[in-house]
Amino acid sequence: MIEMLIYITLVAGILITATSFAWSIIDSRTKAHAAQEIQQNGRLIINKIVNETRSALNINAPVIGASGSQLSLESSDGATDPIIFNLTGQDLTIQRGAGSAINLNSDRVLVTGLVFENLSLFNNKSRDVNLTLTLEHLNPDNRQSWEYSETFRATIELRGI
Amino acid sequence: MSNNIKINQKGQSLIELLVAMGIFALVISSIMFLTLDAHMANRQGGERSEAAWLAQSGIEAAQSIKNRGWKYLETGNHGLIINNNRWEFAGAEDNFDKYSRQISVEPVYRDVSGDITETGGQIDFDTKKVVADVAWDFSPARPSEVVIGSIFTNWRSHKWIQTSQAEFDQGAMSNIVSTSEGEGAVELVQGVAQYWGNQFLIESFGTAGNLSRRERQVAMTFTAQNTGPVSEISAYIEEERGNSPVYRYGLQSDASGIPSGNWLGLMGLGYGDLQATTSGWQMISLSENVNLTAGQIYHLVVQWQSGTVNNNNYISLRSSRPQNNMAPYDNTNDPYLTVHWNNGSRWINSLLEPIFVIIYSDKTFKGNTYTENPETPIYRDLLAGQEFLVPGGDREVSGISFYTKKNTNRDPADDLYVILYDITSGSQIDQGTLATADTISRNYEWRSYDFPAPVTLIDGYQYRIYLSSPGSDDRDYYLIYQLRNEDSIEFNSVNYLADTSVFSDSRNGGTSWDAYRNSDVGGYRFSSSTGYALSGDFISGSFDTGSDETVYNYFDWTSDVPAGASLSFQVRTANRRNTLGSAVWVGPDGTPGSFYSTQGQVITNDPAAAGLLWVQYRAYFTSDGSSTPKLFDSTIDYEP
Repeated sequence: MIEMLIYITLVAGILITATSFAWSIIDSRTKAHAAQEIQQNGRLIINKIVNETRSALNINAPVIGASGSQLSLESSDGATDPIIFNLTGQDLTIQRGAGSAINLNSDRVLVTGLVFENLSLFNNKSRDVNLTLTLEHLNPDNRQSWEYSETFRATIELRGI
Repeated sequence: MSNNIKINQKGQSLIELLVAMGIFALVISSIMFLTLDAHMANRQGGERSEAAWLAQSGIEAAQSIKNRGWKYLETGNHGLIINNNRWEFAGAEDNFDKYSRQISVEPVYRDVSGDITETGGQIDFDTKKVVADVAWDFSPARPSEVVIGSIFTNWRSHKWIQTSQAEFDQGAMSNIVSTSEGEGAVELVQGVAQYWGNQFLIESFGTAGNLSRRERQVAMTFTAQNTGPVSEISAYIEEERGNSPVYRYGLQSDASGIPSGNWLGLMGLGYGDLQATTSGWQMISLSENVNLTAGQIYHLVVQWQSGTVNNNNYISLRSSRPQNNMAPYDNTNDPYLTVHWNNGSRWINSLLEPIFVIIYSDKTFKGNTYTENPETPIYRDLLAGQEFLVPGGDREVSGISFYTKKNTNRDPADDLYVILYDITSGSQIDQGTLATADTISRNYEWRSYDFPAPVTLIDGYQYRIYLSSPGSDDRDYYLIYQLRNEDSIEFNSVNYLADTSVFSDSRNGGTSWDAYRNSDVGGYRFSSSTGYALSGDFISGSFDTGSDETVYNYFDWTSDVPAGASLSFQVRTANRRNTLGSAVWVGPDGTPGSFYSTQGQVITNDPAAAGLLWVQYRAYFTSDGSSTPKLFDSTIDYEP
């Protein structure tokens, strides 16, 4: 009888520990998944903006010295001119010429901050955009494990002539 | 038997359970370790990714700075800042959250094939290596770093190059000639007389202007001879009229040749106030020490501070003529040495010789202390001249000149003779006629005598060079100036070569001599015509860069500068060709007191320049006479 009681106690302890550990693993995995999602989105968006901006001919908006949530670039290809990055709701879109706006972020990621600063010189010797982008993972149930946000910064000097 | 077996099987389940728990713990530990490691790897990946973006942004910002002008990509370690809506370097690093970022700009060297090399090679002023280093602590024990680099080139720039003799000939030359050596070159002329002796002259004293109104100011402008803190200054009051008010005496920096209006010193207290009660030297202690830099231009400014000032109550400062543009102590050239006067509306250059003393905190005196210039007659047994030690090596001289005249329109009864005497050996070296009675003027002028053969004055020996006219009398005779200061150790340390060269006279035909440590002959000079000119300057032709927004990047040249010689440069710019002539020559710090002396130095424009469209440079040559610097080509790199 005593042996049975000890047995039951130990098994119960093991089961409780195992269950708690399993939950912790799942929670951690969820958090890691959210971080990866944000970072992958951030890398994709920044890469896209950097590549398009570097090869652009000029910056239409914001004007020199100004900042805003929309970046309009003069493209060397008439069919894709202008290229516009814009904050629509909590989505960052790209629109080439007359084409439709396409979301750059996934539907599980929200764009909660986007600032383009035009740091170009008035003599056009330097045409430069400074970008600050904040992404946040979708979390409608306010679960702590899905709570993750990150700010990305980039400076891009135009190379297009 | 069977009972015994049953007894031994008791507790077996518990043992199995313990073994199972051990295995379970082992498995759990492994899973925990893997999970934690995966989490850390994930976090590190994210942080490394962010650091890489910051580093790449740093490179892009440096690219923006470079596009503004190659000159702004300064070699060194920098942080970045957005200022005036543009990227600029500021500090040694900048920080984002836990990341610190440093941008290093390094010179690039190329080998003979033109390939970039890490060791040796020649510096390429048109290429720089830019490295962005982002560092952070992943954990206190695990510092992390992302480093990326890029090579930048100065592909946008233009170059104004002068290299042929024809191009050099478009410039103006003073003691300079152009030659066809190489593709073309400019160098010091040969055969120009070089002078050594006290050439500092004083023909008259006068006032530097009456400070009889509140708004009036006088400034003694000079180039600092020493680097160091100054604790006191001194000026000589020509007239202290009535009950003069309190004046402020202090040091100000230079603003394109005139006082800046700002008192120097860390707290701006580089001045002292004084109410003079008598004329003569006034010593003023500064409220705080002022650090002077050798070669920089400064102004000793005097202005009204408090009290009643009018035509009956004021001071005026003493100055002398002519303006010598040289320091009395060693005759060092100082083109900025002058007196400026401000009547309340603007500063003007009075073209006078300032009389002042700068006293460094180590009690070194600098300035001009000559306040008297009695004329010394030469006739019968009255002889006068200069006793001197030969410093810094033997000197070969071919002639001697004195600044002299006769006292009346009549001719003295005898000619004027010059004698060179070796005091150390006790022997006369030479005697000759400096001027004949019928050719000498009644006005002071330089009169010369050439030795029959060059004379070597030996290092460390003491000599006397003096004048005599034994047949002349006290009615018609010859005169020289004796420049004199108050007789004190400190003031004597400022006059010509201090105690190593002094005025000397005899009243008994040379039987005995008196030496005066507070006096010098004003002037006398030995000449030598065997070598190159000791100094000269070349002003280039002017160049239109095509834009009034031109960024001037750097100044480069090819030269041969032997030991004992120097070559330095200044640059000036203007909006029109005809205003270039009145623009101020400035060096790498944008002031007239600095000079480009290292190839590839960044060009800094005069902030007060009228424009940037036209540019011109000036090359300053100096030599010890035995050789000359040679300028083979010059390059001004610019971006219109």
